[in-house]
Amino acid sequence: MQRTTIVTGLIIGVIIAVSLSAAALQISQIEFDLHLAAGSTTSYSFLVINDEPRAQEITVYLNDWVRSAQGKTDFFPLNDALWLFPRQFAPGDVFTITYRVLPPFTGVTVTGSYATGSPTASGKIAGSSTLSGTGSAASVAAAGPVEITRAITPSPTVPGAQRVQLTVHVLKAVAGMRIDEVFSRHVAVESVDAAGGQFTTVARSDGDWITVTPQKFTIDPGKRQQVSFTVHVPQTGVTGTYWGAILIQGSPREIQRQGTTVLAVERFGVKVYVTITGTEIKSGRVTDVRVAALNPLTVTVTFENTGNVQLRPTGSIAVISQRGETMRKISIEQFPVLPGATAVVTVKDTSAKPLPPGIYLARAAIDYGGATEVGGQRAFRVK
Amino acid sequence: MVIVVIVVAASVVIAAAGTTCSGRFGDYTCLTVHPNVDLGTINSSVYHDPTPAGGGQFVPLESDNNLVSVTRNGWLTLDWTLTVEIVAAAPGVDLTRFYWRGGDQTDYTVFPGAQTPMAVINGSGVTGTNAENIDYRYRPSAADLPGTYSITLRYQVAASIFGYPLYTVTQDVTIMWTVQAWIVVAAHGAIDLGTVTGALSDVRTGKLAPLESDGNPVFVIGNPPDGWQLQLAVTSITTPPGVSGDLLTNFYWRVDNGAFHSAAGLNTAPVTLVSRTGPGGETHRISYRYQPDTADRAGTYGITLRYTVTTR
Repeated sequence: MQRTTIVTGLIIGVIIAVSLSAAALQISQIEFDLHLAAGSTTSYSFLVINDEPRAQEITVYLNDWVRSAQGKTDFFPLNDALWLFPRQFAPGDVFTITYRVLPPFTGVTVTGSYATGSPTASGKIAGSSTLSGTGSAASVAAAGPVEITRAITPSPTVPGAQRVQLTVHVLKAVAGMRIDEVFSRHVAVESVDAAGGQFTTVARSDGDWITVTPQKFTIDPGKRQQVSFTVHVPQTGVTGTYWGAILIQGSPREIQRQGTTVLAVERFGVKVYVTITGTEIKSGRVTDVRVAALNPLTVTVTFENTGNVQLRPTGSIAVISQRGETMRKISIEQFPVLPGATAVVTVKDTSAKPLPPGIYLARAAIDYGGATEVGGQRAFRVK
Repeated sequence: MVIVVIVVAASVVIAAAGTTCSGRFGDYTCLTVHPNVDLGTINSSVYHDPTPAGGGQFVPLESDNNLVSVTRNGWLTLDWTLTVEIVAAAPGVDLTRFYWRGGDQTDYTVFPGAQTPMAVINGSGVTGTNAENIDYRYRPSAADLPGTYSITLRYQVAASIFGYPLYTVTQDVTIMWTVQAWIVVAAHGAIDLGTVTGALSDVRTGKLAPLESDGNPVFVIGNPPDGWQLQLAVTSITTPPGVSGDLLTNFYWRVDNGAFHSAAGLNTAPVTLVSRTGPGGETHRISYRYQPDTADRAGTYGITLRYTVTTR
């Protein structure tokens, strides 16, 4: 009989401390939607409230963020360009990410890093860091499973722009990889070849316009601290809506048990929208309508914001029979869409009865606040 | 003999702020109403005592002792009635959550609707002042979207003699408040999944049973029109030297009765635990599971979890 090895003397205490306890950190205001003139400077504030019985050290910093087509917000470092690879990599894999930085970028430097999902590892990107310069530094022997080197050269296709190439050497098998290139100030970054990764950057970041104070402080139990921020809107070259976020992060709550430490951190993301008054353009279109399921009837509508301000459209879907009879009317609740972004909205028909067999038309009508509604439609058959 | 009655009606606005006078036949009544009232700001501070199970309550905005007075300055013995009504409300104001009391109305009450006068107090006489303190209250809810709101009230004194209406005096005043975008979170405290020892081992399969903690509540409530979301990320991991396995691949989470999800990759991209597409509150239950394996070694393990709350 094969004897199974039993692990003895092994003690692993796994404690998951969820940081957001009933007595916790709170923020008085979670979002600012500002309408400011070009060239203006305006200050605002909010309160950080410590409802916990322990003092907390608070860190305040700026981030960029994007909203996915499904409505999920992702934060990332200010002035970051990000590549996500959810796939697996084998030892010996080599690939190159190419992106372009448009002028102006005088004096701008870039700092890069990577993180792998499994095994968990992280490291820095070696190579040139000044956008105005060229060439690549000698690569540094990697201590982790991945080695990435940056090379900067003039763009061969866009005059005045710089081409940046990140060469990734996979040394050990990894699953999932994230690569960040963080610039010392906002620059226009365009992806040339993402090597199959998901590229994200924020073209309309207002993070560089915002100064926050204080950035580090301690709040005693039961006390409040006012955090102030000032928005310095550029005088020229800005139209529509820009966005960023102020992150308020509490201090880790440490719990130790027999050699295992779990740190739990709570963080609030205070979004700051800045719309330049007098420059707003509202525009949008429906790019796709699909029937995802028949029972219950489920329709997805893809809406693209082609204007320069955030939109909060509403709408409806009419299901029309071949005889022209409206069989169903499904409401589309308000959803937000950033300028230049796309939202995919899924709605379900909550009627008790499914549609009888036949051919139908799902017609979407979206009101985004423009002069007219926009729409799209899709024919489908119920058997 | 012919008696000619000359009717003289006059409405005089006296220069004093908040006072209007009107009269007839030389008999005057003045109505003095307090200045406009700012009830304050609705933000996260109005939601008290949140609990992970979804408890807590809104604290109303209040303004007390706002003076309204009726001054008779006449020669007729008149009967008068002071009433108040809503004549205007900003879009989005829920009138069923605006309360007032004062005069004969000793308990807080709502208006039955706009343009529906409610009696404050009655009086009669030739001269004298009758002053009443009026209290206002607005009961917030998560349905109050960010913005500035107001209600315009009209106070009116209707003077009559022997049941015959003679004249009225009116004065409007605005009650206002501001709503900011806010979110309140209350979640369960620290959870101890336990200790991995040989006692977890199944001799027949050679596998170790998981350590689990089910149904830990988290409550989120807020008013952002776009809704809110709660995210989980792993920001750092430490394992004993020589441990080749990945702690995250053995750690799982789930929301409510959904499937367990691996925490692998949470150090590269966060996951949304719960989200809502509009204003309001929800309670969810988060379960955690650690699946030990025989590659685990004794030693110091560390993991940092970061929870982020934001609007959608």
